Amino acid sequence: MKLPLVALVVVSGASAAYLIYLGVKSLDIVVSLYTYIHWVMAYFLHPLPKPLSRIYTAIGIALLAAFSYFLALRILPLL
Amino acid sequence: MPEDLGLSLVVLGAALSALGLLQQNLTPLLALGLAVLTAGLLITWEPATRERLLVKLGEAAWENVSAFIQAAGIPPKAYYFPSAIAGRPVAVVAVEKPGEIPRGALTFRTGNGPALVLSTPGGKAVELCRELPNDLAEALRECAINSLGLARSVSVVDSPDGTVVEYRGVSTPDLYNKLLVKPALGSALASITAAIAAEVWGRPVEIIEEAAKGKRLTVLIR
Repeated sequence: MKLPLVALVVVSGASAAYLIYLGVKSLDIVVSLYTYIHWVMAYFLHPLPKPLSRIYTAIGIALLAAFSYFLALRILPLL
Repeated sequence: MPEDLGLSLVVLGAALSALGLLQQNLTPLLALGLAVLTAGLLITWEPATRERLLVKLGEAAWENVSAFIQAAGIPPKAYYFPSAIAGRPVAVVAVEKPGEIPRGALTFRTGNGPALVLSTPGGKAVELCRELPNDLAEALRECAINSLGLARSVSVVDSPDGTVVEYRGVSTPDLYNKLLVKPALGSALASITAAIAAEVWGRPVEIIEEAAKGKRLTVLIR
């Protein structure tokens, strides 16, 4: 479990640094990118014991909900 | 220790996330904050989850031992023998204290019926701690507190009924509290106390009484 967690923090840190370098200030881009990183890392983190798996999935679902909200905000004006 | 690290990461992650949300040109820090927060949460819960899992899996062995004691029809009462007498630290469940234990035996007969020779949490603790000081209080402090980290402090007092060992800040996993093994061997920490006492004193030891109150455990051994 240690290596995937370190990878999660390192990849997120590197992405954050790159986005800051690019001057990104938009919350929806950051949340979408982290949602993607979170769910990709879920593959490497599994198998987790049940309570830990539930915590990770709950965070992932919250991120997906936020991602869907931001996506809806972007799509609605086009409709 | 991992729990402390986990909590520190949770606080750090929350701080980074807050910074990312509040400081507009640092919004991408939210990704790092959420990652640190997630890692912190998993590290905080992981040791307890793994411990619970291992204890649950190990419960099968204790259920079998309980069934064995019940099938043998022996009252649940153990005598802890030191390695000097039994060859390794063991507990013997028998009607009365046996004079000697046949080397390598798992069961044997005493004058009053069968006796079971059992490995105990205490025996394993003695194997883990290896060298023990000659004084009981020092040995318990060295092994149960410093080496195994099962309680915050220990005190030993001699009384007319035996020796009273009192632990404070106990954090021992519940190995078999609802099974017949509990009245036979005592709780895990009482078993460790008796096994260490048997090693230090070089004679058989029995647990007369034990009482738990919150994070405090009192064990009377003789």
